[in-house]
Amino acid sequence: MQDFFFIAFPYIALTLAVCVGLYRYFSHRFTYSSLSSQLLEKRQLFWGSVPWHYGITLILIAHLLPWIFPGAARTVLGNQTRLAVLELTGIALGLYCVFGIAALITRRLPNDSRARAVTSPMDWILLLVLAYQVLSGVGIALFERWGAAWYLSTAVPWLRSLASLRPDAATVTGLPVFIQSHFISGFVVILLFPFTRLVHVFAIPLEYLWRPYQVVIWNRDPQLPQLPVLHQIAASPRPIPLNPSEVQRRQLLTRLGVLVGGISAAIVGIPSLAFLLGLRKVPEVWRSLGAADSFQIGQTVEVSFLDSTPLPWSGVTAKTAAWLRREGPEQFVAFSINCTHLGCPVRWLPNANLFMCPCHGGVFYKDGTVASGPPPKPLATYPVRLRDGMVEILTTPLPITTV
Amino acid sequence: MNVRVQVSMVFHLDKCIGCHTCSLACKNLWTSRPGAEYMWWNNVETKPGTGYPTLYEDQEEYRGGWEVKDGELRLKLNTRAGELLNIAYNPRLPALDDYYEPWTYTYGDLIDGPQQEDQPVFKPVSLVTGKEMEIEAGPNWDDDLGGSGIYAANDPNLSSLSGEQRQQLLNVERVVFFYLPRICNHCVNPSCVAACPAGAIYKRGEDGIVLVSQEKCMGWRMCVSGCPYKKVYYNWETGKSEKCILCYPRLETGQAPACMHSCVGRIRYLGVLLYDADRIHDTAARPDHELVDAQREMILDPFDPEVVRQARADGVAEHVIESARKSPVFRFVKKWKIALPLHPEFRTLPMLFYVPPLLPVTGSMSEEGLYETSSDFFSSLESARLPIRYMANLFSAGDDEQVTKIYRKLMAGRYYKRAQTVGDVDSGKIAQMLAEAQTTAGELEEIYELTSLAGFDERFVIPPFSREAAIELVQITQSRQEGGGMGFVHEPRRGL
Amino acid sequence: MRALKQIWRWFDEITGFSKSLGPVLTHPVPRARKSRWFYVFGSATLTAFLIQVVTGIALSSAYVTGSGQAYDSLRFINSFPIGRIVRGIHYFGASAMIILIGLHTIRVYLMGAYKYPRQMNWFTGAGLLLFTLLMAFTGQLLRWDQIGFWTAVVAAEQAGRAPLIGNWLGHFILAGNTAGGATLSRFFAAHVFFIPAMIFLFLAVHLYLVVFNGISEPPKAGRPVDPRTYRGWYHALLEREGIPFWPQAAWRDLLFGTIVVLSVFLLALVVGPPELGKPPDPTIVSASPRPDWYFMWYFALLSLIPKWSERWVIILGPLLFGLFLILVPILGGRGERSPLRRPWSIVIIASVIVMVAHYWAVGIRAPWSPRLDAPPLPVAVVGVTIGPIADGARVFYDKGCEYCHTVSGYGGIRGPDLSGAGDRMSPAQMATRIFSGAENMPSYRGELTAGELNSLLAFLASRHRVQPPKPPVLHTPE
Repeated sequence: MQDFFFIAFPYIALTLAVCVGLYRYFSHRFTYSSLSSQLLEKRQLFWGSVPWHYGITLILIAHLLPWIFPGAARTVLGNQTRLAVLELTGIALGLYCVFGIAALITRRLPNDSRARAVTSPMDWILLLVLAYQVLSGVGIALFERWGAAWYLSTAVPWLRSLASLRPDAATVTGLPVFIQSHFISGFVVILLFPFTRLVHVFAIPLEYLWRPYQVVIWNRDPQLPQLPVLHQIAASPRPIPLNPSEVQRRQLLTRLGVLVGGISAAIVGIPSLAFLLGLRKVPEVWRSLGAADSFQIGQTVEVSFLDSTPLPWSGVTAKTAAWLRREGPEQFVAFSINCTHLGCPVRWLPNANLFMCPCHGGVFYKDGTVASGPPPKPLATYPVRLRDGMVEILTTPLPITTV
Repeated sequence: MNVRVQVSMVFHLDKCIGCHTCSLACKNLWTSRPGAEYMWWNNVETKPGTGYPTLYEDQEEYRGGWEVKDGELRLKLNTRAGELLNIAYNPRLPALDDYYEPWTYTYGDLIDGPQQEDQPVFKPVSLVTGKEMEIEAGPNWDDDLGGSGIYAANDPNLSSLSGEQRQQLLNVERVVFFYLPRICNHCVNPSCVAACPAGAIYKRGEDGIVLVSQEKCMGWRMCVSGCPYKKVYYNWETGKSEKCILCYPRLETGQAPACMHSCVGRIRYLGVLLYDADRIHDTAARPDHELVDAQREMILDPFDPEVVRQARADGVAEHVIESARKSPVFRFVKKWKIALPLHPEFRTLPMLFYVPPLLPVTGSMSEEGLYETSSDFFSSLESARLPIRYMANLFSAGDDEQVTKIYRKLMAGRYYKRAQTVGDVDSGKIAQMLAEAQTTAGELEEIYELTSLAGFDERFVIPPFSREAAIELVQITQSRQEGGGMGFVHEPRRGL
Repeated sequence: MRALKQIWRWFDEITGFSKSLGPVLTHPVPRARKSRWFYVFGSATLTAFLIQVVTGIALSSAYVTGSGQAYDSLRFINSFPIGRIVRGIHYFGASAMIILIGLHTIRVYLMGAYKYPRQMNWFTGAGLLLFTLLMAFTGQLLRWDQIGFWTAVVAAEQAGRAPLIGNWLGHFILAGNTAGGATLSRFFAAHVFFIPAMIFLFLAVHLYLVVFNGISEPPKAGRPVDPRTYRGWYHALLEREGIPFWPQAAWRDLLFGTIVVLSVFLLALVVGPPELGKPPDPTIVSASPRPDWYFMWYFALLSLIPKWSERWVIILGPLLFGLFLILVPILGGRGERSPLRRPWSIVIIASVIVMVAHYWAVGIRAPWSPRLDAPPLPVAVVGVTIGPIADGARVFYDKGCEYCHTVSGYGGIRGPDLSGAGDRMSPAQMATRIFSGAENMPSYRGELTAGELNSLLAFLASRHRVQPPKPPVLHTPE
């Protein structure tokens, strides 16, 4: 559950905020507005809007700075006096915000107020969430003191882990629920962004600071002559000289072009294809499987050996496994582990004296013959020999069942 | 020189009868929507009066328009950064009560009311809250000097008049007024555009119409304060600002704007002006008394070959140049110089010009309370019932001379025509008046023609803008077919 | 903003993109009223492909193409949450791409959109379908755990069934005599370079044709395609009621594509990538190769068809499918497009869907696979702890019977359920079956001692589904 609230939910909220916000911006731009109600009611708005906007902006910055520069924040907060001053400032700003949001809510409350007439259900939700957010913030500041300091070791690592896409909520899961609720409702606010008038935050027109005062829009750039568009160029008739020698020349050039291009393609293509298709002749070598005495008569065991010419980067895949059965003092049989049906590795069931394939249930007797199931052929065998008391196996190609 | 085109207008105030037909034509066409009920893109105010919204001309309160500070032209409203800091609460924004709270009546009560002793009545209901309300103000609340002691006395244009003059104006027996129809001036140096933080307001390059992009507008409301004429309105329902669009869909199809088309007194003229865009900034930064002349200089003469050559180079279509030559506005403003912009001292270079009303004294009350007919039917300017100074405050940034010159010409025209039709004015007096007014009989004839006899096509000279053809060059117009017609792809619904 | 606009204007001026690509983007498409949401699968497949490209590039930057190190490099990638997420996106993106290309093919087939002049659209699309399946197959293999490794072997074995060239083909796939060092590089090259290059190529042609021939209009019963008049009619239709692709038609594609991306991302986040199995060590024989879900139905098909038909199905099946894809637009290039007038198309699609779904469901259960991990029967099932029945239960487990036979819910389902064996067969019948074996059961002749057999028979005989009725108690008169 904590994982959901502190890892999944923040991402969901952010993703929704960005995706829906962008969608709304590009598709329903008309709905982007501050939806100001100052025209309808301005006296109370002054006492609400001004404290709220200034207060919350400063508080947001105060929340963001340590998150972006945790090192610097640690240095600044290391000093007791500075910490105390900052905490007090924070509480003051928080109360400033609380005052603002309270005014903003009360001005919309009276049944016959004009502001109420333009208040949507989403506005109420937003106001309540924001009110909770600042109230819980002030509550934390008052009752869980020195938040500016412990914020650095709890929420900051968590938020940074979220930002670095390596989410880790370990530092916040142990906090009191009251503090956690502040975090969660913070992300609720983010979630609410695209669904409420909050979108106006994204539309703060900083561009105004440097754009020219006057905006003139032309239907078309009068400086640019109208160019014909591509399909018009393609469609426009182009006179072709019908001089016979010219035609011949063109044909010749075309053929030459095809020829030269073909040769070039062959020069590059044939070696590449040869490299791809050419199967190197692989020598077959004898590999030792161990002393003959280590195998008991009548038993089947798994043995493994190296391929004849393992590639340096083959790793474990350079090995091949086989089922080795000692039939008598001198007789050894090595079965391929590949089922003859589709090549899955068969397993030896020692108690039942059967090979069984896990894929489609092919079963072989101990001598490799098909007992049941889809395999069309007995298990393939490797050549085995006994030399100097050692069992040796010949590395042969992987058996492939053909028709 | 950088030649641009402006669709421009002249309102001949002498002919306005204050019937408000223009306002209603506009309201029915554009602003009978939720959130827009209180807007009057076109309104007709009684002057002297406080106007709509109340005292909108008081720029010490609303800080609209531009000011020159340290030789720099800057917004009177605030600095750019200052605007952004005030974005949460705009201290210069008029409130709804400065316009009026729109209402309707519970007409249904007349039909559905219960049987009772008394006549059923309907009650006013606010169009904002839907609740019953007391009507304290309404559109044209001070129409025809209604309650002029309260309203007209506060007219900011009266400020530079002597106390005696003001007192006289408001004496019931001397009472005088005229009508001032107002729409957006589609200024050349619009302060609403400059004040808009979102960059949503723009001036159209081809015809100079100033529009608010409803998509870009974020409802920061700075344009409302920025416009000294208060002709940008905030739609409290959609959270977007709106303003007069000069009926551009009508213009593009060759029709006159609705307010002009419907004008009963035929006071309105519309045509294009060519102006020099390179001179905008210099013109707007001139000292007050030079503003009217500077603006006239900025407007170019379409008969000047140099101007025509440059206009072609700047991409002005041939038929637009042709139409600029026929433009009635060009004649009123530049040729005859008898039309003036409203409040040029706001420095937005408004492109709507007014021919000031002649308010001759036909009779007056003597000291003894007797009604005396003036022997001189066309009374002299000095005894005009509305002081020249008042007109100058309205139309020439307080420069009496500008207004006087026009009145001389208008007066000369009247005497000239009187001599022609009635024949009771002697030719010596006419010649003297023509000389004083620096005019000729031919010019007066032309003015008379356009003022009194002009037909529809002479009053409204709309060039074929071929805007649709221009659009088709760059985009497929079919794309507009399915959505909500031109402009909106979605229904313009209020956001969350 | 202004500067950006100027840069764009300059860029556009020297490239002419808006002049050349603008009309492509806004080319008119027919207005589909009821079926417009059916037109999103193609673009969504493209979206899924782009997901694969992006995540694939990311993964390849950490993936080591060596048979020895690939597994370790994947474990390395897996050790980061973000690595897991990217792998997850790649996996679910692949799944989405297969589902979507399937839906797209079905949509095109049902609406008859492959008819004149769009035959080449269909051919290139069929190529893309083939390449997508190949990508899925090779991609599963690149996971290069035990299952990936054995998938390579199984692929080689399947190719081996091809006549004449089978053996060579099998070893070509393995890039050598055995599955080893060179095998993975070969699949990597195919998965990362060759097949994507082919997809891009086919995609380019496919998209070009989509624009060139125009999007097919929704079919209408009684409005057959006539190659002599179709193009003119189609253009008249566009003139009359065409809408620009961008943005009026494309927003659905965008929305659906976004849903695809979001779902893939959420699945990657919530479910995560397929876990890595054991290392690709050929000497660990306790491997149970299983394909990823998208080939599960094929896996099931190969298991369930009669043994004699196997070689035909393995080789001819894909060939027939390819032939079908080629013949569809050649034989049916004109005439009615509406599925209502082409009932067989509905039958074919319905049977394909039913077949795939059925085999898929069966493949999940894999009843043919022995349960090699079945535990010994607990006492509660056996009933006794000593005596022949208990001994028989032990034999039942030791001899591997339980891998294929279920007793009271324990054991495999390949063979008949023996929970009620005692009800159905006499011990003699059971003994015959045990000794002689069957098509799907090995013979235990010689593998069981007499004692083992007897206890096994005792155990089996004690298996009853229902309790035997108690004999009625008779009242004997005093």
